[in-house]
Amino acid sequence: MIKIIIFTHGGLSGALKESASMLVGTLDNVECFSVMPGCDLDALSEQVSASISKSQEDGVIVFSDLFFGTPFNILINLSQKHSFPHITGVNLPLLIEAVNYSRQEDAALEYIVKELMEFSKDCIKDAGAFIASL
Amino acid sequence: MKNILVARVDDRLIHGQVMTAWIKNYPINKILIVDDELAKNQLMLNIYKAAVPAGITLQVAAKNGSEEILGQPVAAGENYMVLAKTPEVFEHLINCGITFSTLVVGGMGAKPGRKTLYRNLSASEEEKACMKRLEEKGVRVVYQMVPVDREVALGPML
Repeated sequence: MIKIIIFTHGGLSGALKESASMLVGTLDNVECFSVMPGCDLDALSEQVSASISKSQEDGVIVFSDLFFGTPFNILINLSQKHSFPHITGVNLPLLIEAVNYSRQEDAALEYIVKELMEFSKDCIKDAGAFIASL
Repeated sequence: MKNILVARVDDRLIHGQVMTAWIKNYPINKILIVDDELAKNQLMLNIYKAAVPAGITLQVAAKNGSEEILGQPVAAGENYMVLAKTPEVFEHLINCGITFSTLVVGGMGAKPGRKTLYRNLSASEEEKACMKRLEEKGVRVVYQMVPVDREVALGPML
C-alpha cells in the first residue's frame, strides 16, 4: 500500500492522523513527523529520509504543513536525494482524500497527486456564502 | 562597513519566526545568510530566495568571504540581518573587524555533543566558549525567539 507521511510543526501531524482515523478507521500506512522546539533537525531529517527511502518501492506521498516552513524546507532538501511527491498545506479533508486513494489497489502516484491538487482547490469553503447559494 | 541591525543564530535560518516577526519589526532590507553548506546548495538557495518577501534582498555566503560582503561601504537606508547556524560564524566576523552590538541566539537545537543551555537552546562546550569570547569582545549575547519576547542575557550561563 502507498505510504503517507505527514511532516509538520509541533503535534499537528499526529493530531491530524488521530482525527482522520475517527473518520476512516485505522491508519497503518500513515507516518507522522514533527519539528519540536529545540529538536535535532539533522536527526529528524535523517529519520524522514529513512522513512521515504524505505517506501520507495510501494510508493509514498509526503505532506508538509506550511509553504517555506521548516518541514517544507527539509523535504525540499531531501528531494535532492530521493524522488517523491510532496504537497504542502495539509489539512484534514486532504488527508482523508489521500488515505482513500492510498487504499485503492492500482492507483498510480502521479494520478493521485493530480486528483489531490484538484480536490485541494475546493476543500475550504465560506459557509455563509455556501448557505446563501442554496 | 554594512549596518547590521540584527545578528541572529538560528539553525533553521529563514523560517516562520524570521519572516513573520523579525522582518516585520525591524526595517531590514538585506538578509545575509552565512552558511558553507547552503552556499553550495543551489536548490535550497532558490527556495530561500523565493521565501523572502519583495523589498528584501537575500545574499548567501560561505563563512570565509562573508566579511568581505559586510565590509563593503554602506549604502543609504541599507539595513542587514545576518543569519547563521552557529555562533562561531559571528566570532569570525568580529575577528575580521565587522561590528554589531548584540548577538541574538534564537535557535540552537539538540545535537550530539550539545547540552541544554537555556530552555530550547542547546550548546556544546566549544560553542559556549565561543559565545563567552564574543561577550569579552563587547558583544551582548542574548536569547530571544521573537522581538516581543524579553531578551535574556546568556552571559551568566556560559
